Amino acid sequence: MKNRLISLSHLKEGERGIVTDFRGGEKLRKKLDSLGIRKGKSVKKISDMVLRGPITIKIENSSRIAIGRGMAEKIMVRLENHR
Amino acid sequence: MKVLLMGNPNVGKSVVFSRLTGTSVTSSNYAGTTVEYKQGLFKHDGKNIELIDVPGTYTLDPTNKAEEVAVEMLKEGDIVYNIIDATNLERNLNLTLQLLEEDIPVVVLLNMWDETKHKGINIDLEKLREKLKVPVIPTVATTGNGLREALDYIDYREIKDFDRLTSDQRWVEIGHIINAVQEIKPKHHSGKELLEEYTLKPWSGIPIAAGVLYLVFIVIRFIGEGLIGYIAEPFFAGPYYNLLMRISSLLNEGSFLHDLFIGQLVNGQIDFEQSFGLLTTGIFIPFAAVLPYIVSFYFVLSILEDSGYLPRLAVLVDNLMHKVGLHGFSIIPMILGFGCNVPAALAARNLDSKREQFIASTLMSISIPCMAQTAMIIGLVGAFGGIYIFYVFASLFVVWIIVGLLLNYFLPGYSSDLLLEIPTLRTPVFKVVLKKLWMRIVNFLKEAIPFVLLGVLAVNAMYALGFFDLLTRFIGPIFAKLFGLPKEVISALLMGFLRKDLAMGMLAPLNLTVKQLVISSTILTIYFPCVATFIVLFRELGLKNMIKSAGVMIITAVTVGTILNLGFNSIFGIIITLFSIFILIMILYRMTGKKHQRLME
Ligand SMILES: Nc1nc2c(ncn2[C@@H]2O[C@H](COP(=O)(O)OP(=O)(O)OP(=O)(O)O)[C@@H](O)[C@H]2O)c(=O)[nH]1
Repeated sequence: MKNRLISLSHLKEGERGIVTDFRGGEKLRKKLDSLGIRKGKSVKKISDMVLRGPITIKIENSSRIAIGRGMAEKIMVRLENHR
Repeated sequence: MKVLLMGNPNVGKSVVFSRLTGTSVTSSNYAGTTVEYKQGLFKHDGKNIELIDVPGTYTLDPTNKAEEVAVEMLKEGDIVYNIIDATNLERNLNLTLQLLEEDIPVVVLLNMWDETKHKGINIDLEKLREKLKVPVIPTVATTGNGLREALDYIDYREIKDFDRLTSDQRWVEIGHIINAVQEIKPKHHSGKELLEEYTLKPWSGIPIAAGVLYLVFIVIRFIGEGLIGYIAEPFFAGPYYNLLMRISSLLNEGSFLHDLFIGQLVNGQIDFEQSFGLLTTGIFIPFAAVLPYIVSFYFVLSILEDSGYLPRLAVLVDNLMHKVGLHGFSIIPMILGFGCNVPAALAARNLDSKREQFIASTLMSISIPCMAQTAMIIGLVGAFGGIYIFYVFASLFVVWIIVGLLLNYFLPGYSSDLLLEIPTLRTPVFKVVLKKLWMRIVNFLKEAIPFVLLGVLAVNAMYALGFFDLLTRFIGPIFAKLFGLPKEVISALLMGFLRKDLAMGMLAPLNLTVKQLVISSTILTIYFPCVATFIVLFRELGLKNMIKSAGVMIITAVTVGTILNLGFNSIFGIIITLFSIFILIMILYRMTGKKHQRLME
C-alpha cells in the first residue's frame, strides 16, 4: 500500500508525496521541470478545487503551483510518511 | 546600451524596473505576439540606458510564447541583470545557469533578500559568487537596497566560460551549489501561510473571493464616481463648455466645420451626449465618461495584481472558464467589463491565444453590462422589484454559458490545462502600482481615443445620411413581432451604440411593462457593445473576426429577445423553456467535454 504509485490528483489534501514518474510526453515533463516539479521532489497537496478544477501543491522549499486536473493525473507520486 | 531584466515570474522584476526608470516607460506587445513587455529609459553616469523588463521566464528552452519572446530578446541585449528570488534559490538557479551558458554578460541580483531571514534561509554569498563566477548582489527591490550597487556593474562585460549542460546535468550542478551555499532551518506555518492556503481551498477560497470582488466593485465605483463628480463634470460643464460655445458662435451653426467639430445644438445649447461633434461628444465620451472608470479600475487591478491575489482567483474559476474555452486568467477581462467594456477589450489581448481572445471578447461584449448600464438597469427595472433585476442578470449569465459552450465547441482548438505558480500574498508597493497605472492610462489614451473619435464621426455621418431612419423602418416590424416591443425602443438601441446608460434612460418615458423592460435591457446589453468598445474590438480582432463576433452578437440578441418574449408567456411556456435551456446546457456540456477528451489524445 505504502509504496504504490498514485497520481497527484488522488493525493488527499495535506498529504505529501515524492514525484516518481510522468505519464505524459516529453513536452509535459519539460514544462513541469522548469517549474521545479521533477523526479525526487517532495510535494504536498494544498487544495483540490471542486468539480474537477485544478489542484494546488507546494513543492518543498519552493513555491506553490496550481495544476489543471488532466495534467495532475499524469504526475505519479509515492505517498510519503508523515513527519 | 540595452539592459535586460530577466528572471522567473514574480521575483520582483517589475519593482526593480519601476525603481530604475522614470516616467519614460512604455509597454508594448512583442512583434506579432500577445506577449507584453515593458521598456524604459534612464541616464546613468551620463549614458543613456534602455532597460527592458523581459517577460518572466523559467527556462531558455521555451515552453510557451512568453519564453520564446524572452529568448528572442536575449539576442539584442548588451547585458543581463538576472533577478532571482533568494527564497526559492534552487529553481531560480536553473535559469541563471542557462543564462551563464549564453554568450552575454550576466549580473545576478539576489532579490527578496529581506525575506530570507524570517524564512530561516541562510545563503553564503561568497560561496555563491565563487560558484557562479559572476557578480552576485543581494537586493531588496521594494526598498531599493542594493540597486545602486547593481548599477555599478552596468559596464560589466566579462563572459565566463560555462559548458552547455543537459537539463539533468544542470539540476545535479544546482544540487551541488545549493548544498554548498544554502542552509534552511525548518519553520512552522505562519499565520500568513495559513491565509495563503485558505485562499486556495474551495470552501474558504470561494467566500473570500466573493468578498474581495465585492470590495473591488465598491472601491472602483467610489473612485470612479468621485473622479466624474468632482473633476470631469465640473470641467466639462464649466470652462470646456464655455470654450466650445465660443467656438460654436465663431463657426456659425449649420456650417460644415460646425457640424464636424461641434455637431448639432440642442435648443441652442451644446449637449455633450447628443451633439455628436468631434470636440463635444467625441471628447466627452472618452474623457468624461470612460476615463474616470478606467483610472479607478486599473488602479484597483494593479493593487490586486501586485498583492498576488489574481492567480488565486484564476485557480478558483479555472474550471468554469475552461468550459467556455478559456482559462482562469480570462476572469480579468470579464471583471474589467463590469466597469467599462473598453479596457476589458484591451485586456483580452493578453490572453494565451487568438482563440481565447476571440471568445473572451465576444462573451464579454455580449453578456457583461458596464457599470453605467448596470446602474440604470438597477434604477429602471429594479423599480418593479429586485427579482426583475435578477431576471436580467440571470438571463445574461445563461447567455454567457450557452454562447461560451457553443463557441468552445465550434471554434477549432481547445484551451490547455492550467499550470501556474501561485505567488505569496504581499502588500503592494505604492510606487509600482502608480507606475503601472500611469502606463496603462497612457496606453489607453494612445490606443482608444483615436478610435472613439472615429466612431463618433461615423455615427455622425450615418445620422446625416438618414441611415438610422432607414434602419428603424426596416427593423421596426421585426421588433414588434419577435420581441413584443414598440418600435420606439429601436431609437434607444441606436443610442445604445453610443452610450448604454443613456439608452436605458430613453426607455423610461415609453411606459413599458416590466416584461418589456426586462427584455429590452437584456437585448440592449447583448446586441452590440458601445461604439468605443466596438472599435477597440475591431482593432484588436481584425475585420474578419470582428464580423464573426458581431454576427454572434446579433444572432444572440435576436434569439434571446424572442425566447424571453415568446417563451415566458404562460406558466406552461416558462416550464418548457427553462427545461429546454437546461437540457441544452447539459448536451453542450457533454459535447465540449467529449471534444476536449478527443483533442487531448
Ligand atoms: N519582501 C520583498 N518583496 C518584494 C521584493 N521585490 C519584489 N517584491 C514583491 O514581490 C511581488 C512580485 O514582484 P513583481 O515585480 O511584480 O514581480 P515580477 O518579477 O515583475 O513578476 P512578473 O511581472 O509576473 O514577471 C510584488 O508584490 C513585490 O512587491 C523584495 O525584495 N522584498
